[in-house]
Amino acid sequence: MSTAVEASLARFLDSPGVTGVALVDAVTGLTYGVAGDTAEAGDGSESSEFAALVAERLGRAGAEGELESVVTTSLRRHQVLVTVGRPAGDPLLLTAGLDRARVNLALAARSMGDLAGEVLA
Amino acid sequence: MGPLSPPSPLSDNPQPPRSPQSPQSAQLTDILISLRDRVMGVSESVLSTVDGLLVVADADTVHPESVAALAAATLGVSRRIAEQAKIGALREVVARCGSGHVIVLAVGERALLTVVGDDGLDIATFQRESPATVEELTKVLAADVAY
Amino acid sequence: MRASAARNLPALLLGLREEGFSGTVRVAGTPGGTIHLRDGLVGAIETPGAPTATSTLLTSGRIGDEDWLAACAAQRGADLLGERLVADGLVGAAELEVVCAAAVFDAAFALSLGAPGSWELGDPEPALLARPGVEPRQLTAETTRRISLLSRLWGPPGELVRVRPVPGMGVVEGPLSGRHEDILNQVNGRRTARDIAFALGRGLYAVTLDLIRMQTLGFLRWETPTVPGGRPSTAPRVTPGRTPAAGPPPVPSRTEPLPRRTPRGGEKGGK
Repeated sequence: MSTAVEASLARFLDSPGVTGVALVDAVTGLTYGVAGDTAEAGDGSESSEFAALVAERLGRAGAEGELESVVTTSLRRHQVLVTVGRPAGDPLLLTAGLDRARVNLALAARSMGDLAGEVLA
Repeated sequence: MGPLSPPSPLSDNPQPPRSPQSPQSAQLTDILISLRDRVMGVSESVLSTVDGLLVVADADTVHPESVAALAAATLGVSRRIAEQAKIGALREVVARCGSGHVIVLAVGERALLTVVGDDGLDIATFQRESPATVEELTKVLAADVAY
Repeated sequence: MRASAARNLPALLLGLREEGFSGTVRVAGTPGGTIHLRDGLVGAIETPGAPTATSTLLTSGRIGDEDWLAACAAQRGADLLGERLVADGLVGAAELEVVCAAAVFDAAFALSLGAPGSWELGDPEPALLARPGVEPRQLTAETTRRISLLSRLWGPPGELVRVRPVPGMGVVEGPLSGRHEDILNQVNGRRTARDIAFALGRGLYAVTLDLIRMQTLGFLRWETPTVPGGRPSTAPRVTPGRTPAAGPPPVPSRTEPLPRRTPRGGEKGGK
């Protein structure tokens, strides 16, 4: 659907182990672009609902500030959701699928966090 | 430019508490409220006289008395400029602004309707509905002729 | 399928996609709207039911009024306005894609609630366009999904976007997030979800989701749309613990004359 968004997302695929990544609206769940494997990136509306649920629970438990990221780990993969801030407008989510065999989670999450700031340029 | 900041719901509404209305005023107000229901984007409206006096209002953020005074001036000046341009009788004045619209139209000979709308005001529907609204208002106001 | 044989709007758009149509589709309804197509893809939709990309950019303050007007003046063909905004550094390229795409889906959702009636095809008109445009098939699928979700969460979406929420009373669950606080500042019993969306420069669908969530958490209530006589309740707001007054205040029998100035030898003003 998009080109500038997809070009931005393609950079995430340079990280070893990142199999698919998408830019998703954190409120509506709409997917604005995908790079790599769509299924690996995850379903936009599911990801946004899940992130919202986590954020709300954390908020009620007393956590301060906005949710930054959520990592879900299964046998072969991680799924990482990273909040993308914007100068204005509703928050976005980067959703990425990571292959556990090939990825260093700490490095990948860190680089995603770094690149997240530039994804809308 | 940020969003409009309305009075907080529970306090500091600048308008005085509403005194009980006569049946005529209530009817007029109902017509204004019905306009807001029927036309998307209408935020509030003020019915006033050509002398700049308030009749009734379905107001939210504007000060009805101020609007009443300004509407009379607006329509008066606009009529004169229309005369200058020799393009027929004035129908309505539309002020298109950064984040909304203000429309002033005549209601019969002695009254004016000012409508405040947001950025998404459905102008097409408004122009379709306003003649009927004006007619309804005129009818209710006509009951005042005896005074 | 030939576009002219379409039975409904989604079918029409599919047909126009096949034909690679560039132009406008004017749709009647409440709300109606104008769909801007380029090669059959949906570039923009204008409707009173939801803010356009332009509206959200300006209302949210992302782009200042003067910068905007300057860009419009410098770029007469509005089809290229997006490129101009990016070139002028007023918004990021990917960011603009997001804003424009979001607006297309949001307006399609709003249009679908307006029971679209007749339509009319026309020549291309200038608009700030999503590039590339959105596939009609995808637009229809997402709109259907949104309507199903809202129906499950609340009820008929057509009613939901017309309800006028009021601040809640009593117990709330959890802290008020920034986004919810912005919405609560707009909630006053007069504004519908659509009105709030325009006031905040956010999408209709997004605001609707937030309103539902806020109602569940106790931050607001759905006010009944009408009382007898067709007039929204003028009952005063109450603090928790007090019984709300029911219905409009009592009406005396005296009729008020129309206020008028005493004439002073001539008509007021220049009529």
